[in-house]
Amino acid sequence: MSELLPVGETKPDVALTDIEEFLGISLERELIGIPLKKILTISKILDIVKVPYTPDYIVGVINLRGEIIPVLSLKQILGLSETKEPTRIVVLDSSHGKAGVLVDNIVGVIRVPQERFEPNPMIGRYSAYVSHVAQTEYGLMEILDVERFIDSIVKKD
Amino acid sequence: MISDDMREIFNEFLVEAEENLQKVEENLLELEKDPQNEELLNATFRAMHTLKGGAGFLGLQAVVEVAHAAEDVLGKLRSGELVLTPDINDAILEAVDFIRSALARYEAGEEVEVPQELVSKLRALEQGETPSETKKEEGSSIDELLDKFGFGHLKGKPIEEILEELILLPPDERPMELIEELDKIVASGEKPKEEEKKEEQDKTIEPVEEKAEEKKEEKKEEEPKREEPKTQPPKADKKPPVKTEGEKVLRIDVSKIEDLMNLVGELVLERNRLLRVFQKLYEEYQSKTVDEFETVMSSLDRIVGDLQLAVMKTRMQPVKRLFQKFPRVVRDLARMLGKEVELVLEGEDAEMDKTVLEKLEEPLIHLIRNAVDHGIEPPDERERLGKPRKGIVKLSAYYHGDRIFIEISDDGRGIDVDKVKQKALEKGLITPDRAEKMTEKDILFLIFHPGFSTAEGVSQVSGRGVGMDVVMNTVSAFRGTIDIETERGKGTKITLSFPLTVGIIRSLLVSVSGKLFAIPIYSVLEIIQGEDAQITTVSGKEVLILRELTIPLINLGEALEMESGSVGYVIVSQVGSQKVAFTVDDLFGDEEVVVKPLGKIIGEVQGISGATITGDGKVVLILDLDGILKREMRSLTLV
Repeated sequence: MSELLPVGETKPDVALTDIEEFLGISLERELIGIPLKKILTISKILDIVKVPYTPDYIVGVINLRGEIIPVLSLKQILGLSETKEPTRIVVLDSSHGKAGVLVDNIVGVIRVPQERFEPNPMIGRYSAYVSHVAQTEYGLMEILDVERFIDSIVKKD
Repeated sequence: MISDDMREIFNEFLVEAEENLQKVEENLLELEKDPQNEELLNATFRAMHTLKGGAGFLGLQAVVEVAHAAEDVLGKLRSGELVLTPDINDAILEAVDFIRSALARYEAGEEVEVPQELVSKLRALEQGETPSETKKEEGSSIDELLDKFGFGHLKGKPIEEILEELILLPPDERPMELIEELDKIVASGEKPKEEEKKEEQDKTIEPVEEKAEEKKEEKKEEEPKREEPKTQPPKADKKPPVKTEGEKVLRIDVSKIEDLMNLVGELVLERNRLLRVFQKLYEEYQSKTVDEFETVMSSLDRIVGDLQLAVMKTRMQPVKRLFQKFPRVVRDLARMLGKEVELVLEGEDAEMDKTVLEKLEEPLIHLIRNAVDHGIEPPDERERLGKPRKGIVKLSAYYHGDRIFIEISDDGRGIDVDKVKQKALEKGLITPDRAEKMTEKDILFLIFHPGFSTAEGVSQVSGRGVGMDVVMNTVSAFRGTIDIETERGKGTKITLSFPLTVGIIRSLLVSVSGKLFAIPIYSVLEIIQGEDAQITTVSGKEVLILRELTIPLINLGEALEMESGSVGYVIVSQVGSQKVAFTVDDLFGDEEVVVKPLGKIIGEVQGISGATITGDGKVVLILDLDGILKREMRSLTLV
């Protein structure tokens, strides 16, 4: 019996409990990590329908398999410049529902052991949405706090 | 506290308790008219008894004590040792109110203390004491009472005025305890009248309910001094409220039904597409197979329609659930205001969507309150006018086409259109110029204007700060319409209508600045070709002249914060209480669309009621013209 692993545990790696997986995305010159468990799907940029009377950071809505999903501009919310053209929509799952965010490029899945997490040293700007930072093979990755990020948008309206 | 393992039983109990409380309440109101109806007394007693038992099992001591005391009183009523008086009725209703609030507090995990005062009041009544004896000292000082409930600012005013002030508060803010206390003071002050009433009561007031027709005949002779209303209240087909127990009910999570609704919505749209494709096929080819195809298509069509209806019905609830709350409102209000009012309910079995039904309570209370307070005249005035002393407020529900109608009418004094006009002028809602051109109905609709009823405005019509605009907003939110008819001295009738299908709406597809939008067809009155439209400007704003009517014209492209579109067509629509025209580039026919919400993240957007997905997967936003107009009104004054 003791050899059986509890359901849900992916690998018998002892250190695994401490490793977290992120989807690395690039936004302008920043590398941002989105917790993989918060991601539903990644899609190409579909027809985005702008919703009148909504703030600019709400880019519009898309039809994702028969569902209406809002698309947000992460760059605008984080206050980044907008020089690069986004190529993908990453669809997130939050307690307030699904939401897509525009990203420039997908870097890939990045696994980071928890001990490499450092508290976000920055203050101001978008630091409220970045819970931690971590050094990775792709450079310094900022970890996005999806719940807090979506929460702040819901409260704004 | 409710322990976790008891939680489930407690929740079951709550549902059952509410049913029982409602039964008690309904029955008591009925019993007021027919105090010796044994069947009703028995049913009431049983309901209270069941409630006490359940509460005992769960250890809800405060509820047990009160229910027990009330049950004992009901027991004596049943055995004939006591006769139901308005005071007893009040006390039991108070017990019902207490139990209801106690249950809410238990649910929230709070402790509830036994209300000794209420229990001893019930005990005293059970012993046959009249509360005017036991409660005399209560009426010590009005000022003290006002202080206790935090209404110190009303001190010094005549008690009737205070009562009126309180009764006009929204129901959840209304301090029922204070009102009851004050009511008692009023009652004890008018003792002779009260006793006279009691005397009558002892002789059994003749039942107004039609089921006791013959009894009525006999009673009439005994009571020659009681005036019969000249017009009989319309005969509602009402059964005695003793329901057959144990309805077969399955409780389902609302979200599951929502999912089902969504799927059916999609199915309906696909069926529509299929029908269109088939139509083409039928025109192009003639063969036996195509004929057979047609048979299959038509039965598929029918089944999908039935399915849609069946799923819709799972969300529907009888309006009774809502209506049954009002007899109490009317009774309390009438008593406070010293009026005699009978509430007649009709069509209680008509069903409507649950979400709409729930949201309608507030507006209907507004309307009913207005009818009782401002519509129905005081009994003496009515008598002078040759009307029966007792005013009638009628609340009815019925279907017509694919809409359900709810009607509130009264036989009171009606609305003084001139006064409305004058007030609107005073408040600057309309210019004298415009007032001249307005039809009577246009003027009536001004009472729904947000600026019309303000806190200091003690108007004949809409009362003190009771916002009729709230009524209008709720109705618009559910794609409803509102109509108002009034005749001086005869009464007022307000009709609300709502679509039966909440999830699917027939919409006109239009393009504005190159983008597709859907406009719900119920708000479209007529469509005019751009080149035929007579457009001029009035004080710098564009207006449409249509058969001598001047209608504000809104460029939809600009209104939607896009580029100003061309004037391909002009859509004349009825928005809330007024006509407004909108310009669009092009039309693409009408279609049934499934309304999907924009979701919590975007939230409610005034002017956009949702989105839909077309057959080819495009997202089309559904416009809410009422909301767009409100936005426009904010930036310019549409006078």
